[in-house]
Formats: sequence, structure tokens, C-alpha cells
Amino acid sequence: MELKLNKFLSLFVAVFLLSVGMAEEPKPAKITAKEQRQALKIIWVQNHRQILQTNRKYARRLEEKQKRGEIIGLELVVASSTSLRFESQWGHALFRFVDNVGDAENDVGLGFVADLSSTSVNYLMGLVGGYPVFPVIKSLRLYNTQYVKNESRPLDRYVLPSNQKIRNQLVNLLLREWKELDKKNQFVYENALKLARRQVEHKAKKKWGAEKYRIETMSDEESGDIFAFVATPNTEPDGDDDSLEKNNEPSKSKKRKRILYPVHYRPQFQDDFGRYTFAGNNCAGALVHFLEQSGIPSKRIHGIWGRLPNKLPNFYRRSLVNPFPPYRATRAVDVRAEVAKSFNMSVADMESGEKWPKDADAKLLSLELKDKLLILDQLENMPEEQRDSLLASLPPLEQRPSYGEIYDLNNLPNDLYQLCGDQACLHAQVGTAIAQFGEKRVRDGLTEWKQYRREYSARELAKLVEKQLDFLTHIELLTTL
Amino acid sequence: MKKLLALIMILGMMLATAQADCLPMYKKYKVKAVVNSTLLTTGGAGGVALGAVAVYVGAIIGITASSEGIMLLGTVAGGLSAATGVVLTVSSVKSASRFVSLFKALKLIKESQVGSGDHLNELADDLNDQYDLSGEAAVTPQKLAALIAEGNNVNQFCLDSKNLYGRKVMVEYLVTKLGLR
Repeated sequence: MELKLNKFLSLFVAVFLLSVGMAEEPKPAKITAKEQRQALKIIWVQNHRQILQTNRKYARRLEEKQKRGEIIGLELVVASSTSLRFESQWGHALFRFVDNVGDAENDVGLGFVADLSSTSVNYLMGLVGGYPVFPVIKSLRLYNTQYVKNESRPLDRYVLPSNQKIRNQLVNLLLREWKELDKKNQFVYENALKLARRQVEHKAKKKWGAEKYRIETMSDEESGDIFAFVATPNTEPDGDDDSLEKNNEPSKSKKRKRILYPVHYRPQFQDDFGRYTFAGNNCAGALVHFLEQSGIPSKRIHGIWGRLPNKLPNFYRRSLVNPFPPYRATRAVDVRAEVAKSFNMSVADMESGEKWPKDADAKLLSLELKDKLLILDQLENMPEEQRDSLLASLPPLEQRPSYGEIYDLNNLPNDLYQLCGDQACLHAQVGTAIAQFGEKRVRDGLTEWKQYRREYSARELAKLVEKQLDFLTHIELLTTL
Repeated sequence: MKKLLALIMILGMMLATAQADCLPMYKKYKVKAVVNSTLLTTGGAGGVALGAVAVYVGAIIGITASSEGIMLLGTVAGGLSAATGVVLTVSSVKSASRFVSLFKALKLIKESQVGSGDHLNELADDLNDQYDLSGEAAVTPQKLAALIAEGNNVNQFCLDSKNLYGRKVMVEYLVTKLGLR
């Protein structure tokens, strides 16, 4: 309770500080406030365009998988909590479309986040719904990189049983809403492009006269996306003095005369995703709302369980959806911690790659193959000598485990994802669950599920499953176990 | 005798300066890019922490810790609070863009030595999608790793020290090698 109080106090203090302007970032020397604002706008638009591009790629991939009938299940995925950021103290909830091709690593995942309109977070906006909810669509591998590799936050995966109809509805809903949102963002981006171009031309003409200036674009080489327009008078020489081809000598060039206009627009809202709020439509709330629309049962009153990501599994157990325990892969995080301990260092110190102990080589070489590969993948700043000796100790490429095997991104048995229509199916499913998760964990999960089941009257149960009656049969079968 | 000694010396010098592979070249460029970025910040006055600038330049071209970039609340670290301003010019953005391309190429080379990694495996998935490959014909991370290692060992990616392969060119090279085009 004290902990919760502290969290609310920290929110209050953060909001207060922001509202009185005490949380402003320090201004760097030798750069004007205007230049700072322009730089941040350029960073924002570059990143936003990149996010949209990534989403498009994975949305297309999801659509193709659906067309080929490869999507066979659904999983709720919860990243453990972290103190790295205020809003991540209760974990992060996302969702996996399970397919039957390859390891889990290349399956498509979906998470809901706030789409910020600048490079810094305004917590007040997050409280009152000032940001749109944005659906991040990307591979489970990239989610693994983000949470497990970069932040040491293991992912818990909970099976959500479903049928083909539910899965199709979910994919269709997501793709329809995403495409609408993408169109809106593209529309405002193209308008912002025209506006920035007009403004820079207008100013340049006024300042230096018609045809006495040239206009260049700051853009992404690969995608061609434009982030800003720059006008320079013809009296200034071509090019800057800071390209990569130059040597490392300090630049003697002075700032050039120029007019710079970043392309800037506000991220768009999409009705079905709604507005992001910390206490309501956050990653968990938006996910519950999304799943509800396709018939995954959810309790009428969401309470705290339907709003806190790390309580979401409990919410779905209370909603009679998932009786089984999670699949949890902690090895990647554990191995890193164990190696740091053997070095007598903190994980952060080990990751810096500095002051490694003299016997580091021997310790690393004594690791199992999978752990060696984990360490090689995770420690970017590993000293060259240790990296080379680890690499030399590896077997040929074809004998090495895959990325999915290294990170334990295994597939669960297909039958766990199905809604059962008869006793034989359910018995087989429970048997598979016991083999996968262990008998005690499965029995404990079922006992808890049955307790929640008893809280429902027949009328309430009918209401809970009204959108997908297949759930009623599945629940009734589970009740008889 | 003198000629023989001279020949031995020349051979010795050639061996000492020859690159075993392209990794050192990429790493040198990475440092150079960060140093140049530092210069941009201060107009030559110096005095800015490299780390902070790297974060900032990374943010410009989207290589901050998360693949989403920096503006998705709930997923990102908001690493800009420690950022120092960069005088943005067309070429500094180009440089940054080039830097990230080299950075991604470097990641591919390093991951090819391990045989897997998020960049390598994502690339395999992308190629399979793009060329509609599956089953036996599918491009695997191991196939890519072997091709990258082969190219790296003959210095294919760094034949011209001033024009190292960026990610895009490296992918084109792999596509050709795989016979997809």
C-alpha cells in the first residue's frame, strides 16, 4: 500500500513540476532556443515517419498471414514492471497473433501506446487524454529486443483460447482501424510538407529576393521522407563543412545564413483506439477494449485488474478466459545476471565492457552454447579479446541454435489455443497444459478459475459470452473438470 | 641482398596494414561520425560529452534504444533530457543518415559472426516477404550469415575505405548473391 501511495505521490509531484515549468530541460550552450526547438521537431517527425513505416510493414505481414490461414491462436503478453519510467511501473501489456510458421519470434505482436506530439512527455496530457492511442505492430522478436534484451524485462505469455471467427475479427478490426489511422497521418504529413515548403519559400523570397536562394531538403535516404526544408542564399557556398568524409579536425566553418522549416504535424486520433489515459485507456485498457470488440469475454466492471498491465492476466482469469499459467522465459535475463555475478560486477558495469576481470575469458568459455550466444548477442560493448575467443569456441553455423531457441521464444502446442466443443478436446488440452506447464501450476490455475466461475450467475455468464457463444461451451466444459 | 631485405620489409608492411576483414573499418567510421557530430554541436569549440551527442544524433536518425524511436509513451526512455543541441544542417542530417546505415551494416556483420540476431533475422523475414519465399527456398539467417561472412572475409564491404557499404547496398549485394534478382 505504501508503495502504491509513493507511486501516486510521484505522479502528483511530476504533474506539479510540469505545470509550474520546473521540469524544463536545461538549454545547451551555443545553440539558440529556436534551433533547439527546430532540432526537436525534426527528430520528432523523423521518428514518427519511421514508426508509421514499421507499422505498415508488419500490418502487411499480418494481412498475408491471415490470407494464408496461418494464424492459429492468440496470446496475451505482459512485460514485467520496471522503474526505468513512471508509466512502466506496472508492466506493459501486448498481444501476439500466434501463427504456425517457424518459431514464435517472427509472429506479429500488437501493443497500444500513446502517440506523443513532441519528443518529451507531458504527463498532464497523459492524464486527461491529450494523446491518441497508437497500435504498435511489430514482430515478437522486436518486442523481445525492446523488453528482454534492452531492458531486462522478461515476457510472460498467456494463452487466450479462441476460434477462427474471433481471430479473423481481431485481425480485420486492427487492419481496418490501422489503415484509417495511417491515411489520416499521411494526409496531415503531406499538408505539412506543402505548408513548410511554402513558408520557407515565402521567407527566403522576402529576405533575399526571388531566385536568389536555393532550397534543399533534410530527408531520409532510404525512405525519401522529408523532415525539413532549408533555404540558403546563393551567396553562400555549396555544401557544409561537416560531412562524414571530412577528417576529425575541428570544423572552422561558421554558422551559415539559412532559413529552416521543419515539417510538423500532430499525430491523429482513431475512434476505435481512442485517447490514451494513464488510469483508463492505457496499454491494458485499450487492449481490453480491442479484444472485447471481437468477442473475447471481459468482466463488465474492469476495476483495477483491467487497467494495470501486470494485473491483466488476473482480469482475464476473472473473466473466465484463461485458466492456464503463463509461459515465462527468464533465461536471457538470468544468464546476464549470473555472468555479471561471476565477474563480481553489476550488470551495468559488465555491459559497459570496461574493467572486466582477467579470468573473464575462462568464465565465458565455460558457459553452455546457448548462453554463449546470448552473451554475444546482448553485450554490445564486450571487449574484443573476449568476443573473439567466444566466437572461436562456437561450432559451425548450422550446428548453432536459432535466435528463438536462444531466447526461449518457443511455440506452445497448437491445441492450447483452441476453444473446445467437447470433453475429449478439453481433456486433451488439459493434458497438453500439464505436460507444458507442470501439473501443480495447471491444477492451481484451474482451482482459481473455478472460484471465479462460482461468482457468476447463469444470467451473468450468458451476458459475459453473448458475443461468442463458443466460449459458453468451453466454460461449461471447464466447469465440469 | 639489399633487394631481398627491401622486399621482405615491403611485404611485412603490407601484411601489417592489410585488413583481415571490414569490422575495424566500420568501427573507425562509427567513432569518426560521433566525433564529427560533436564538432557540429559546438562549432569547433569542443567540450561536449560524446555520449550525449551520440544519443542526440541517434535520435535524429532513429537508432535510440527502442526501435520505435522516442515518442511512444510506455515504450521509450525519453533519452533526450541529457541531449545537447546539434546545429542541424542538410549534411549533418545526411551524415547522421549515413551513420545509421553504416551502424546497421556493422550490426549485420557482427550478427553474422554469431549466426543470429535481431537485424539478421529481421532481414531474412523481410527478404522472404519481399520475394515470397517459403519452405526450402526460404532465406534463413544462417544463409545470410554465411554470405555476409564470405563478403567480409574478402573485404567486399570495405574495398573503398571512403565508401563502405551501408545497409542498403549490403542488402542489394546479398539479394544478388542469393540469386533473387
